[in-house]
Amino acid sequence: MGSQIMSDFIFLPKVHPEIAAECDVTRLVSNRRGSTAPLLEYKVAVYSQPLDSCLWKLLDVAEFGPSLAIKLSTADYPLEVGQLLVGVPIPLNETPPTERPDLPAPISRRRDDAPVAERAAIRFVYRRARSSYQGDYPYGMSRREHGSLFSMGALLACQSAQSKTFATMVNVVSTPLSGKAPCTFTMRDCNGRAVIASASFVRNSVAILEISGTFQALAKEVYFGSDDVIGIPIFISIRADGEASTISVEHSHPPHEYFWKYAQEQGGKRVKSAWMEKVKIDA
Amino acid sequence: MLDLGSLKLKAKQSLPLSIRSRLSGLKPGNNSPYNGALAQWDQGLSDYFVYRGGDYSTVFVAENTAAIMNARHLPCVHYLYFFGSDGRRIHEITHESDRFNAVIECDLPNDIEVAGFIHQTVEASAAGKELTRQHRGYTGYRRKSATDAPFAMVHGNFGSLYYNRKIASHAVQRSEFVYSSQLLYDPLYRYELMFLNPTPRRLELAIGASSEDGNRIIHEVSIDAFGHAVFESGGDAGQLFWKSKLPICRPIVFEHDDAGKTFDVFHG
Repeated sequence: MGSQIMSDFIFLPKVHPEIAAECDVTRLVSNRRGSTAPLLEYKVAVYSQPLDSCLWKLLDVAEFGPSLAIKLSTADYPLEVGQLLVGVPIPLNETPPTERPDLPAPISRRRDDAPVAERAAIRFVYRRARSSYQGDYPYGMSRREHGSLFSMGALLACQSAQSKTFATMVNVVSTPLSGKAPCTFTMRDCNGRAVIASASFVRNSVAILEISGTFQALAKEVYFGSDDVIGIPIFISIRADGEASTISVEHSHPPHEYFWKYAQEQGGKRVKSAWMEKVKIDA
Repeated sequence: MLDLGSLKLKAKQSLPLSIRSRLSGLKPGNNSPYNGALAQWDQGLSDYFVYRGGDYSTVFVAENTAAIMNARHLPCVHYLYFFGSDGRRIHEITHESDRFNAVIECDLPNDIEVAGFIHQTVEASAAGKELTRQHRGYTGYRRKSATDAPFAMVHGNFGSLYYNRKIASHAVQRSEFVYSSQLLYDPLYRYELMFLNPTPRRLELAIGASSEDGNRIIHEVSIDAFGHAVFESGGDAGQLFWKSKLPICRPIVFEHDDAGKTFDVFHG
């Protein structure tokens, strides 16, 4: 059980009919000591949860065979916008159930004490363009059904009026859910706390706010949040221009990362309470 | 069968998180990317970022962490210090703002194609200085010919650097580590891997390729203290890995399509 504490899920969100999410998963240990063996043996159970259900459905079991890497894509499965694919690294000898209320703990893909998160290259493809980042959903995060999220809108700050951005928030809860109560993902004005836009979503899906180029050109200072759940905010900017269409993807820092390691816990709490408290006062 | 590394990891992970945090705070293990010194630089420690000139425009989204932690505008001066491949300081930009995030256009002399840079802030107010801050920030890149396109964004990744009359850092080199990129390199693309050395010692780096047939070293480079090096590769080289004495060694990767129409940037 110990090695599962630090393990991570792979996730792929379906954010738009024209944007596919895909990822590369390899058998190579991400980071290791020079003396540690380089290869892992495992397979990936691919689950998704319908937006109106609390059950995870097994869609696939991806095996490496002789290859070093496999590719998963939302384009290969019939998903609604808002649904997620969740890849769970599992032992080769395990047969995953086809339907279940929870997600199994992913096995650890670390092999020694080398510091690293167990990530996959998550890529978003829009027409001929693509954009990647190294992503994962930590198992520890997925055990929390309730929580709150705060993220500054820094990734909107420099985008052009000719592009638009999907501000998204991915939530994965690996424990069983008793229902799918609606949650809210909001964009607020930093300088008045007013809600500028909000999206309703459910757990085990991706919340999506579409932000126009016209709004980006105003260079307003905004922040994003949820009072219902925790999650990973990802910002996907696109510009439609035929063959020359472009896409840019990055996730934002969680508040504790504004601080050096010894101050992270205290600092992260301080940032969140400063912004969340302001909202309560102003509400 | 478990090797020694796996057994040590399991033993460590069996301890409660609170005990593990306290132990790591007392003495960094020989896997820690940082030295054990208490960091108290009031301008904040910085990640090490990449500037790209030539055909590219680079912007930096600088976070005003004192303003963010107090949830109100506070004036500050953002300082960006740029360093060449030999680690010497080559340029400096200052930018005054009270906004939570300042967009700083990195306008460097034309002959500078690539540079490493760090970010610090100086505030008149004492608010926010009681906790040591880490400047992460986001760097955006765009072709100069594509002014309507969104910037390709990448967040700060690793650092602990600061500039106090000279560049310094809490990052350290230890024994050998091997980092394997999880990206499936594509033969239809070409790649530029930008490695930054965040330590005050020369960094030896060996880049290799893994395939179903095994591993082979394809390039070796020595990077000056606080310097950088760029490694170019086609997408047909196989799965790239690199050996170094950095516990975490992740380059910034530029990926270009064959037709030269699109590019992407991300952490390796």
